[in-house]
Amino acid sequence: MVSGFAVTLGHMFKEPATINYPFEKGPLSPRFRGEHALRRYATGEERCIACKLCEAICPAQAITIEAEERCDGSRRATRYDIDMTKCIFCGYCQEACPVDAIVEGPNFEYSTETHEELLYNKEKLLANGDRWEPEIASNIKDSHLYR
Amino acid sequence: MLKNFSKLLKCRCFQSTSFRLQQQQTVPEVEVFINGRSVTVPSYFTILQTLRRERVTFPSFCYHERLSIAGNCRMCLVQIEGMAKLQIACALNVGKGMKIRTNSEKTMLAQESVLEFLLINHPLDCPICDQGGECDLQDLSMRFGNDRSRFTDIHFSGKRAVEDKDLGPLIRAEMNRCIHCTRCIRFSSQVCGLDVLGTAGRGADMLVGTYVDKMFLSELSGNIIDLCPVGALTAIPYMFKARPWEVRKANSIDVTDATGTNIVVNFRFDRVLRVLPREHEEINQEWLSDKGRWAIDSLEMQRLVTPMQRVNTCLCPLDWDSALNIAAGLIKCANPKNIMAIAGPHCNVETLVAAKDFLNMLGSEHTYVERGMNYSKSNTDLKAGFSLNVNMKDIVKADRILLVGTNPRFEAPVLNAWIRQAYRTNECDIFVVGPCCDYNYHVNYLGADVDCLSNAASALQGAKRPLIFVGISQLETANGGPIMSTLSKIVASLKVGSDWGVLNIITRDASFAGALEAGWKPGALEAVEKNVPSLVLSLGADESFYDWKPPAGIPFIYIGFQGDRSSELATIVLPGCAYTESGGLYLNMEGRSQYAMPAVTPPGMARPDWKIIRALAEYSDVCMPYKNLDSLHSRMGQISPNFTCLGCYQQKVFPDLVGQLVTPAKGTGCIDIDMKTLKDYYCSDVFTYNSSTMIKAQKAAVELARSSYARI
Amino acid sequence: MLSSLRSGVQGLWRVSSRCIQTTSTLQHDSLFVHRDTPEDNSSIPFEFSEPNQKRQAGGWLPISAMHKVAEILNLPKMRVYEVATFYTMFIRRPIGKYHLQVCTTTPCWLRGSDAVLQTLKDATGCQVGGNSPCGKFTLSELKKDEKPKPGPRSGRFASEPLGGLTSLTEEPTGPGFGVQEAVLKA
Repeated sequence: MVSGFAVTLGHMFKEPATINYPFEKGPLSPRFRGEHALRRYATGEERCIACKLCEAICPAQAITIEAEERCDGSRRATRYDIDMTKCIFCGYCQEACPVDAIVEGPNFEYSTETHEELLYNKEKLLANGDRWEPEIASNIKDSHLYR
Repeated sequence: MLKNFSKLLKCRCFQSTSFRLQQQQTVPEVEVFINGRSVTVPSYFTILQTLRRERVTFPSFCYHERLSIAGNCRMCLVQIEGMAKLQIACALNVGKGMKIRTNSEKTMLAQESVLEFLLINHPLDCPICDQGGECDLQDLSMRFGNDRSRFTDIHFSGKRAVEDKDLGPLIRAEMNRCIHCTRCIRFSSQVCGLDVLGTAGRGADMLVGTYVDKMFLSELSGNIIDLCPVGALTAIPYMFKARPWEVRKANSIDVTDATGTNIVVNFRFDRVLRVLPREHEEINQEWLSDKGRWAIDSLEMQRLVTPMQRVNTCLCPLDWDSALNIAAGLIKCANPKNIMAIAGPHCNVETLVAAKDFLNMLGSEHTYVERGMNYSKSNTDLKAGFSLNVNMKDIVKADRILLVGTNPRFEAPVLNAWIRQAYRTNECDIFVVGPCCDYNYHVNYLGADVDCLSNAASALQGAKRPLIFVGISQLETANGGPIMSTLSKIVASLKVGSDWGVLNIITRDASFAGALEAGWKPGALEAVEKNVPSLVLSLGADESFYDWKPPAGIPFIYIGFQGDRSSELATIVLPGCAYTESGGLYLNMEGRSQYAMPAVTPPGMARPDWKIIRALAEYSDVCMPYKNLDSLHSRMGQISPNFTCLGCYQQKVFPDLVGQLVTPAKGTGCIDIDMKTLKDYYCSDVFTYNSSTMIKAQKAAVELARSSYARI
Repeated sequence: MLSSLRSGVQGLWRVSSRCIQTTSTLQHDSLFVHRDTPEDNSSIPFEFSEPNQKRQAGGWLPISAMHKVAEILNLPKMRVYEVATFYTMFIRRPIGKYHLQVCTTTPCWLRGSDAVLQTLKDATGCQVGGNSPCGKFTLSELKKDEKPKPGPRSGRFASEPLGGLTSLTEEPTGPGFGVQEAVLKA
């Protein structure tokens, strides 16, 4: 009984295991697979070349791509949709991508009130990429040894 | 029913293979050993043919069964025991007791090294390359290549980079990807008959191209895209549209000409993306005409997607029920004896049979196809009088050919490939009665007048296997009678076997043979002028209505998929299906029936044409004896067994009678052809006029003809 | 600490490995495609005349000459282009009256070919592979070595036996030797 109280007393002085979530956040691995984003090159040019490898590898068939020639002759996606409600966050898409365009970023707080808001299109994904680029870039740099 | 069809097809396949085996018995055979396994092959086989027949996976780039052997890719290096060096399997004939080692270390090392050398100069742009996923270089690298690269040379001399060629609005040439297999060069020179492509320079600087600034345009040009083992040549209309793994495929039949070319329709998300040829040894080998390949963008142009009714000068959309009610009302009010149906060029047999049955039940016999043909008293009773009387694959055996008022190069490009093959391999002499045209073989012009046909008799005399091809457009004119009677006399004077059909008609419309077999009559224009109809039902027929306008007050029902002249004039428009949507049975110019599978669903409220007719019958209180595709097919079987016996060539009976029944008439003299040069080829009917790709190609052909390098 | 060091080093390596690919240099100073120029295009007529036969059209091969050859031989033009581009001594661009060719391979370079080339450049105003402004000279690099001196041959010409021929010693027989009379007549 005394030892029991001693454990309790001991824990009273330890750091609590829980965190005060919205204000504090737990640590994230650089390889954390969160919300998707489409990245750009430093010049502002979008990376995605619509090779459709992510679409092919996606086990949940959550990605839909349509490609067309842009006026400068390059191959670009006219449509890049991810159904986030189908996605199983396996990360195969970012592994398949030959140009590091589609990535799963560190963001996990993107809950919505409606289903439709989770059907991401290309603009949304590119906006995600622009917002999270510093984090994504540093994460890719950290995990490049394993790629 | 479909199952029955496929069973019949399979049965037919077995027959043909056993026949082929019997034929081969006469050739001396040799025994060779593949990795220790004994195999007996004909003595004329090459090692690669032996390996392919025995289904040994063996790589090659430049070798192609239907082209000459080049032996320049070195991918098929193989070890033969007793030979000091590795040999190329594609160019080495089998010898008695040859021991072939395809899995020895030496062979595998050679294959790996050749791939490594190829990849030194091949750009690694697979993600943006259209060939990705169906690329021979990708596949062979996966199977035979090394998974490591020793290529670290980019700082020293780098990859080969050359400028791209402009081969026209259909073919995109990305010459960095070229591996110099020369398949395109051999195809253009041997099959297309255009020595436009070649190699310039040598060694590491060699370029495949045209040397001068010139486009590569031909009626079969699209096939070099299929032949290219890498992504150097890709299709511009299909550029970046889809990957091969995401398209779905449906086996279909090309309807832009009457050859019955076997095609595969590739589609995704209910859109037809591209058309590829399907192998058929007796019809198209593995070629496809450019029109059949690229006119498909017309399927999305000017489509009729909803039933429409004429209100004053415009057409107003309405729903099916009221549209059918109005149409049935018009039919009921019209004098049933004078209701007339006119079939367009793309109707399948199902539609034709249903429409004819419907009209017959109403009491009318006026079912006509647009094209006229009135040279013979037999009319359409003798199949030999309006079709090809020789199996298309036998054309290659011909030793003398006479073309009368036809340019098969543009009227039936796939058939022309056989003629060219006869010209190349059988030293066939070709004579022409007609105006000067672009032929892709050397021809002897005998004159452009009907009287010149008498010269043809001496030209064909002494031939063992002569063939005469007459263009169907000649039989529409007054020249038809004199042409056919003179030719029949010539044929009678020739000494040829009874199984060899000398006199052949080249038809132009996919629906023609099927319609005549189902009992439709030729000559819609003549019929309407002779006898004013009480109601006109157009099944996708447009051409006739440029020449003839139904008089005011005569109701006009249009069932078809594309809005053009007919739908402009129509009282009621009922939207039908294109061949990719409804599929159906088509008879080609040989009378061979082939089934096209439907690929995509019809757009909007459009429905299969035969179903529309069936519904129309029901609204008009006519009971048709079929209600689904199966019962319709049994009805077709009742009309002609040829409609259910799929895929086989039909021997024509009484070909001699055709000549005896010719209507004696005086010809006007001059024979003319409407498709003389390449620029006439691309846009020849309503379907192709609506295709923007074909318009671009036509413009390019005009531009090429003006270029100072146009002559080959 | 260590990991950041490692990633830094790797980052450096990555920078160097992700360079933009370079392109190989051409091995010839001439193009393997034809470009229409005022001096060389298909609308310039060409005939095999007396001066042309003496010195092929001013020392170079215009495209209209290729077309003429194709016409005479009844060949597709492409087949003539193929031959003309294959052989390096067909010069397919206008050149000067004097064609200066300097060998710049390693042995010659060691012996000072650079200086020779520079002198020629200065004197004529040509660039390598180009014509001088006056149009009289053309300068090009040659990748040919002087024939090396062969080693001791003991009086032989090549690799024949030292003691003279042992076979094929008799006078060669002419054509038709040993053929049946009937065949000869046919």
